[in-house]
Amino acid sequence: MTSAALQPFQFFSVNYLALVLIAALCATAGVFVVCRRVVFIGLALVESAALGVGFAFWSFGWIAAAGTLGAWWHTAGVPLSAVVFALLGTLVFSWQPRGGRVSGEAVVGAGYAVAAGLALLLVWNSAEGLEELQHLLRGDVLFVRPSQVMALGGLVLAVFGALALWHRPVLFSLFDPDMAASLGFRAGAWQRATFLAIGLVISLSAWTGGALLVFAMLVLPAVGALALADRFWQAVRLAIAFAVTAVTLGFWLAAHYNDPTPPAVIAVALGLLVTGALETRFGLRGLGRGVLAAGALGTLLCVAVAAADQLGHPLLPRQQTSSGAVARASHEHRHPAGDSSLDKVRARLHAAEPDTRLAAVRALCARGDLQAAALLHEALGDEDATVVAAALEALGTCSDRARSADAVARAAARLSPDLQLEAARLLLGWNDPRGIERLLAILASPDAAPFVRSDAVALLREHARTRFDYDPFAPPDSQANRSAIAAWRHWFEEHARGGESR
Amino acid sequence: MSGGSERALIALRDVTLGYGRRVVVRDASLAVGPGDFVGLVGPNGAGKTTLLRAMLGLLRPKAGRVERAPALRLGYVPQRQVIDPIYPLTVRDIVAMGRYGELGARGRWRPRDEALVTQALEQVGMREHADRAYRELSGGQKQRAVLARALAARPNLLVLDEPTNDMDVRAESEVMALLHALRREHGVAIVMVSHLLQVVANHVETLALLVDGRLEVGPAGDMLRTEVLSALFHHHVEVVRVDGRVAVFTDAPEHEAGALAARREGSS
Repeated sequence: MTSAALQPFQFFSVNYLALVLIAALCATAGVFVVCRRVVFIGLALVESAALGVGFAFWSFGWIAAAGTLGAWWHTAGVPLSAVVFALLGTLVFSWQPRGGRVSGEAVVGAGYAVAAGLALLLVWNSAEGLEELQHLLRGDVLFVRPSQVMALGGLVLAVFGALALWHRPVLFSLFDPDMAASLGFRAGAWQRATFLAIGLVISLSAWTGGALLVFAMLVLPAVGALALADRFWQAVRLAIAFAVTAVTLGFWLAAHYNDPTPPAVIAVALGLLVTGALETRFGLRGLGRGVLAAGALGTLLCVAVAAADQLGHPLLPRQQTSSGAVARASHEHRHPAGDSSLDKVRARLHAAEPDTRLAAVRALCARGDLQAAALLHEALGDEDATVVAAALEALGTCSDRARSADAVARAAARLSPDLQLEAARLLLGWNDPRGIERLLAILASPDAAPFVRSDAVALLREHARTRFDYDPFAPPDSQANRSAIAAWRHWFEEHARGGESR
Repeated sequence: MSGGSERALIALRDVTLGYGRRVVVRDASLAVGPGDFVGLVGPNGAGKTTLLRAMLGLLRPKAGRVERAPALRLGYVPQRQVIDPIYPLTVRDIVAMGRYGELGARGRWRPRDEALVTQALEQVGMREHADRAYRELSGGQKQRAVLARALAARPNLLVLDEPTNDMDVRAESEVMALLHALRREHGVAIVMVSHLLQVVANHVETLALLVDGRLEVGPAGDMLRTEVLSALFHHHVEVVRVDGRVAVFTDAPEHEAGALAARREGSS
């Protein structure tokens, strides 16, 4: 790969690292799940987590946000409840009825239907709850936060550390619990612990990457690996290689060909399955394993690029004009409706409560991409001055002249003088001469308070390095001030525009 | 042996077993000493597996107690259908599990464990198949593999659940010969569960018959008589001895056969 081809792994390093961690975790869990013949446990657990989300929002209706406990519950209730319900679901779905009238598969199916139905019922009257549910079920790894990657990384260490220590009882208790128990192992406890870990893997992965990606990574790598492997732990290694190869190639294809990530990953996984089938069907020994080995090595390279970027030592030059910049722009452009997280923030931008709109603006600032900037432009038209001020501040932090100067200049004309001052300050920070025009408009505005005009003239003097005796405490239409404004305009036409054209 | 043998490796004392409120086995007593060969026989659904789970410590009795000698080393051979072939495991992987009990959850695999695995494979004649995938084996070979797993634990009591189920005559006689050899050469006690009286009749010393939730235990010679078995099963069971070997026939009694013939004639 050329360095240009590796650019997506650098630009979207957090997202890519999250994908690789999800792939490794789900592929490992998937081998256990497929061998246990409960593949649909993945979907059922995501719905269990959704039921937890529903329960949390339902509880908000009768637990006020007042008081320490109430405030804590309103802050942490949704994720906490989702994880607890997913773990409870794990205990139910891992139960294998002995000689009963229903199969374990039927229990999973019933749990899926009940959890999905109840979750919808609980959040039906809460727009915010419905959005949260959609986020869980259709979550997108493109809106991943570094804290989520840290949590996934911690889970990877915990899961693989536990397997390194206890791989024998874990496998033995799942494979033949009666024999394991007869040899002194607490097979039931080991099974429950294993399925709780699987529940944690699935719920956290779905929260980060969405249900489709998680289910695909749970099943497809395990199926491919089990077709190729003769031994259990070899199957786990092959499944991991399969999964990380699929997400690496899928991620790259999605970045370059304007596709959403999960379907691209699934398409690559299908290709890998075909390769494995060719090996087993036509005796092309080593074909599938060779492809997976090459894929795993390629993944290591891409992970190194992404990790180096995160650690502040990028392996590749950061240039916006490279194909990576094109990839980034196209990547951002092609998810206008599919990004449920962004939809959620967009909805909050139109909430009745100014505090909610303010929180949405701050969330957009944290995201800092093209779509976020577009929504911040919308926020410039907000009726609440605090929200507009926050949007201006956010644009100054996370956007640039090319993306936002026109929007700010357009919006500024409709703003109050104090906000116009902030807009001007922002435009000047981007070396945009429309900032000067806005300051001159403030100087001439009878609505502008003296201290606003005082700040505006100070800003002008700072940029012009000259003074024209404008008195902010005199009326703007006084003879002296009109002369000063005219002198400023003349200066602007002489210097500022000239400088811009140069 | 039945009753209260002092040297028993394992003894069930008046145990009542079941699931939830349902009682499956009532007031059963059975003791197995070193070198014993016990056949536990009963029709499908009689509670054989329930009794076996109690012996293995997987099911707590509702009443009575299960006594285990400190020297007891159990080897369990489940029905081979219990082993799911979807797991990608070689024969050696499966036999190695027999060592896990001694190794514990985090014990290190030692050369001695490897040697015992190889020895167990040799005992059942599966050494040359050690690296083959379990799912590729024939029914008889699978049974040998799970038997080797039990042997790898160096048991002094081997509990086998329907080991000859669905086997052809040759494979069945090979398995039985292997069990006799283990008992003869290593003094291993054997409890063999079967739903077919015919299978165990010529091999075991002690017969434990499970009928209608009751366990009747006695020497095979005493139990394998027409009048005893017919009374136990409430059905005509004929025991015939041919050249020192026992054959058990469960023919329909004459009056039932007559009724059947009459029905056939009526329908035609």
